[in-house]
Amino acid sequence: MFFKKILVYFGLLFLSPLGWAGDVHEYHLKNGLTVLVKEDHRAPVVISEIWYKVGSSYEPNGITGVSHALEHMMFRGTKKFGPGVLEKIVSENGGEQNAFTDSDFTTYYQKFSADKLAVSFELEADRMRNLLLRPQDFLKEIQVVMEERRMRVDDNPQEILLERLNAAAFVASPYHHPVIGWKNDLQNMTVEDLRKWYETWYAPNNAILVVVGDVKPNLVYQLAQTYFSNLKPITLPKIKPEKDLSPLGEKRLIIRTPAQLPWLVMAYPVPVIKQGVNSQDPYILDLIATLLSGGNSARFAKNLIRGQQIAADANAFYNPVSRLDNLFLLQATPIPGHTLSELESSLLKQIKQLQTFSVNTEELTRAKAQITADKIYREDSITAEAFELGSLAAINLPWQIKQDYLKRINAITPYKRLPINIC
Amino acid sequence: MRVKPFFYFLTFLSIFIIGTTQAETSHVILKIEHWSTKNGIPVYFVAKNEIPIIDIGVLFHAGSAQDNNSPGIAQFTAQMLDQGTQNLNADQIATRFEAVGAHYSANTNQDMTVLNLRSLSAPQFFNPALSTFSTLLKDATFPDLAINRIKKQMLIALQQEAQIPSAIAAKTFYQTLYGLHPYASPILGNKISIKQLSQEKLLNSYHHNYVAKNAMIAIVGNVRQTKAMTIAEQLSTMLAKGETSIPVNAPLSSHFKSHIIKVPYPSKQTTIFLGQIGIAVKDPDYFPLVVGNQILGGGILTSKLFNEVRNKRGLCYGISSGFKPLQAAGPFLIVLQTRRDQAAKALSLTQQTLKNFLAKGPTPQELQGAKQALIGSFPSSIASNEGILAATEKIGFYQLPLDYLDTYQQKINSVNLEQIRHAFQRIKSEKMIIVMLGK
Repeated sequence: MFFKKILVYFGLLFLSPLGWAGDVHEYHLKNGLTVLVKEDHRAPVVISEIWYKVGSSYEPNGITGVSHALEHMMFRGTKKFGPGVLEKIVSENGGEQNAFTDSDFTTYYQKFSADKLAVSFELEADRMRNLLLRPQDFLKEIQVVMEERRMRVDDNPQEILLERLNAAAFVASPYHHPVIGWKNDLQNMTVEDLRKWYETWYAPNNAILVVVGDVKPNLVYQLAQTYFSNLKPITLPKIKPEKDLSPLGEKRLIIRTPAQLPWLVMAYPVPVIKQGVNSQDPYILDLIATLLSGGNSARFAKNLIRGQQIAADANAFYNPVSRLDNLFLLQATPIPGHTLSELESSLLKQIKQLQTFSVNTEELTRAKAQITADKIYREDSITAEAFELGSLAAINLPWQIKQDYLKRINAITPYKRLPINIC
Repeated sequence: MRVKPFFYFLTFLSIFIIGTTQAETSHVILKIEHWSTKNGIPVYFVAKNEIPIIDIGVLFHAGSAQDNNSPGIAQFTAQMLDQGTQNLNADQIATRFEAVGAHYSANTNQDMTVLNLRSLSAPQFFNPALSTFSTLLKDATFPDLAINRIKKQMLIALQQEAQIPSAIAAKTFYQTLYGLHPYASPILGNKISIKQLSQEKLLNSYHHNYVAKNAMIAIVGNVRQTKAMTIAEQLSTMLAKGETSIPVNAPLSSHFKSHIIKVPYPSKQTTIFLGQIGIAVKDPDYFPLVVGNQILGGGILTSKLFNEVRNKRGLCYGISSGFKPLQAAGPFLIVLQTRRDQAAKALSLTQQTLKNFLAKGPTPQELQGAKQALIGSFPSSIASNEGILAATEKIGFYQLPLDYLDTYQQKINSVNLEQIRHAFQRIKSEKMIIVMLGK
């Protein structure tokens, strides 16, 4: 339930002011690097993340997966930190590191004891402009990536379905292709493809540095200046307007692949939070996802799993933080003896009930309480805090959105109109 | 879920390692308070007041190792607690927790069943959550209708497991490695054993295992010790005195040479598990083995296995080695997956890397690097209340010393090359159980 995690932390209504929740401090270096810092002094640790505004949704056909392949090569050495040196330095300083690529961003992070923050900055500054990209390393690493694809997608029936579902649901939107890339593109990818991609997107004016932990914001800013301010900005490509096409009706997709269990996924194109667009729809959709499957008391668990006993599991997913319009997903596994089409009718009925029967106050209050509590629980993890800041900034949304989030959720009253088009 | 981010690495072994503090610090890093309730349940408490939340764990010596003739019963029992009590049905239980934003969960492994409650600490949220949680300890009724429904869900969970290559390989590995020992018993049980469960058997398991003598309580969060004592008493009065479960025996290593099990599976990759019996939580070689394993295959991005098999040759995405210390000896295992036409090559390279490591041991530089990594990464493992709860639960459940976290640094630091070489002599590269799952 990755999406649920994205959204938490958003202001508070019914609890006393948060003494522990430090403000976010925002700085801008002259070269365009944005720095976001949040204090959390509960433990002497820090997470430092660098977010690049590039991911699979920026990729043209033929080189799908290049953002992710480049992410792998970012561990194969820079000018200052040659092959093998980078991981050794992080490890010997007691750090943990990893990186992740998604459709809208690519992120690199280290978790250190708070006094080692400079190690992270020095490394990431060199990695931003001085990557080695040696052909001999690429030959091995692209094999690793293809193994990753086999493991995570090709040998996983549910992932295969989701990959094909995206390819069908998104007609013109670049969310059409998978983050890890199509197999054929990976097989034909070259180190030159990666180099061009690196030179096009990896620069201070396309990056956000997010630091959360036992730090002083002004000192973090100074340290960032020391390590990053000499990096030159580049001219970034101008992204043409991207808009998906209307689905023009229903699409049905049947995937046949070795599997033990049937699985049903339904997807509806829905809007997401956009800057300058004052729409309540994304917030309503998020609340609906909670009403449907936000816990054991939610409608799917109550009606489909326990009541009708038609589903072994049933979930609704929605992520309002997305660069382009996205999908509202329903996923369910039928109990033996029930067909997929019976399950589909039951899910549809649940959606229709949202339109025809208004939600009662008790149910709505409970969903809001869950969203509020989850936001506070998220404060327990500096990783989650950093992710929230970075994922907003990476798609050019102000981090202040999170401040207002609960306020907007709590303002929702039983509604007449559902922001999903169901036929 | 449309997409999950793709990480540079993922690890398949969730190995419990309580790390250590920074080399230069020697002050107490976590003050764990310990006492017993009136009916004798040990309680472990850490005050953390920065965030208005409370985490509670109630742990029972009721893992799958206690399942005997009913594989899966410990897990099934745990899943039934919130399906109905004397006064509440499943809908009401769920509603009561969620109306105050509380999270309840029940988990079972080989050694234990853990019931966790996470709640906001303000009384108007916490009190109702605690009251609902308490009632599950004593008043669960195991309604037949719910049993039948959970049975269907468990059978589906077994099928779900059967379409995840690493899950099938793990199950095969445990069954082969442990043979007749209780750790061979699959946590979810099997098709036949699940069908045979009855209300009577489940109630029996509940009344027998969910008792004071078999329990331990951990509390972490925004609460004073006096209040924590009241909470622990409230929970403990729900439990009858009962009897302590019989601890599992040490497993016998009965394999005299390497044993390869091939499991046919229609996957593009071959999933490889290789290993043997490892160590118990309290094994005297624990520290040398943890440090040594960091060098062999535990250290992400830096280990010998990662370097040889992934970095130098691109043979796999995930590879790691580790010990899973349990009450009795848990497994030592190495896990990797690779394209099927190069499985034999990857396996032999893995075996060769292990063999070299066992023969030569680490270099002084490698030892130093491993210590720094383990020591330095410790603070972040207990930076969150969630991490503190997990560490406290382990310390309490396995009766590790209260200063375990404080002395961990020093214990890692004092490991020397000879100790590692000596400790790893128990790993015999020529006597491994090898599971290869694929076409």
